[in-house]
Amino acid sequence: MLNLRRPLEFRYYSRRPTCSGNYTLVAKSSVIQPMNSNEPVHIHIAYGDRIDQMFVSYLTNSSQYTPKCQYGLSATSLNFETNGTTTTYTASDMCEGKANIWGPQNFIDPGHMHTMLLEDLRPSTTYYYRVGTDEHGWSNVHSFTNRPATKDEAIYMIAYGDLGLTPFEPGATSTAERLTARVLSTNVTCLLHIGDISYARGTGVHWDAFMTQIQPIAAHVPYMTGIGNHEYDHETGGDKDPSHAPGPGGFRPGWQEIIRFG
Amino acid sequence: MKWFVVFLCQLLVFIAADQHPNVNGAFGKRHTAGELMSPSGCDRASISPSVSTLDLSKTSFSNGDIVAVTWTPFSTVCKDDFIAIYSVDIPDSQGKQ
Repeated sequence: MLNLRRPLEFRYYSRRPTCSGNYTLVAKSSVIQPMNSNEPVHIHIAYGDRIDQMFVSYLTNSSQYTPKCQYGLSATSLNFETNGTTTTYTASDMCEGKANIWGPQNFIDPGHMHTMLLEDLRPSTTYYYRVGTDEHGWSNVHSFTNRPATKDEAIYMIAYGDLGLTPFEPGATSTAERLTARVLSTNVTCLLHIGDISYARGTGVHWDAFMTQIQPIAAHVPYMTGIGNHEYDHETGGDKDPSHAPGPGGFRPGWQEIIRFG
Repeated sequence: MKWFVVFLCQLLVFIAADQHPNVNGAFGKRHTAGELMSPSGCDRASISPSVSTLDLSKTSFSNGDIVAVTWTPFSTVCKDDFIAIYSVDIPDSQGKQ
């Protein structure tokens, strides 16, 4: 179950007994909801500009309190604490439909994204951390190992593109499971997802599912991303594109031609 | 005028009778909506007389928890039946799109 920060219910629809015509609601569940709608979710880390930095991010349903990350050299002694900042966005910030249309299969309230910057980290050192607040609760303790001090040292990097979500991308779940097993069993330095990340295509809830899918990976190794055409192409609303891609109405390269001739 | 009053009374009786076929049938037996024959050929059996319950293994959860959904099997099922998760503020009638 995804914590979508709101009460939910299961419904069974059928076209019985003739199996034709309109669907009818034939059964539904009681309401099911998150134990804590401000539970820290979507926890992920990413490199900063300097070797001694690491960004730690998570999501809740609130911007009421200052987000925090407590960290240290042992899981039982999180001696350091740093505050973060919070941001969010709404449908009108998006370029075009269906991302800018409210609806359960379009734009949904994405919650509030919190980010802390850890600094003065030692190279090649394992840190333990948790995120949250005293008021809304804390995450489990996660860990990461910072990158080496020099570029001459060998690293272990996993790189891929086009992950997405099952069942829309059928191999996504098994790929994510293999990745999780690998990063938890091997000293992977970082991961590069070069683009076409969630394939949400404007369906906001897919981002919730995707970020939940990658948390076991992204909370443990820096999850560095590039942007693919599924993250940034648009035909209208280009004035809201933070990349300021060229074009009066938007930016959509001829991907089909690239595929055809490439 | 007299004939009009008689006609009006008959009309009211007819309408009143048509509103209660479900209470006592032609032979004094109660019927469900699905058992009634339709004078106009519509499939009244498709009108769900009641909504059954889907049972959940838990009603509060943490992100990523597995929740089991169980129910008493229906006598008939269609291959395109589906169960989905909805925000409670979405009307039942909009959930089948």
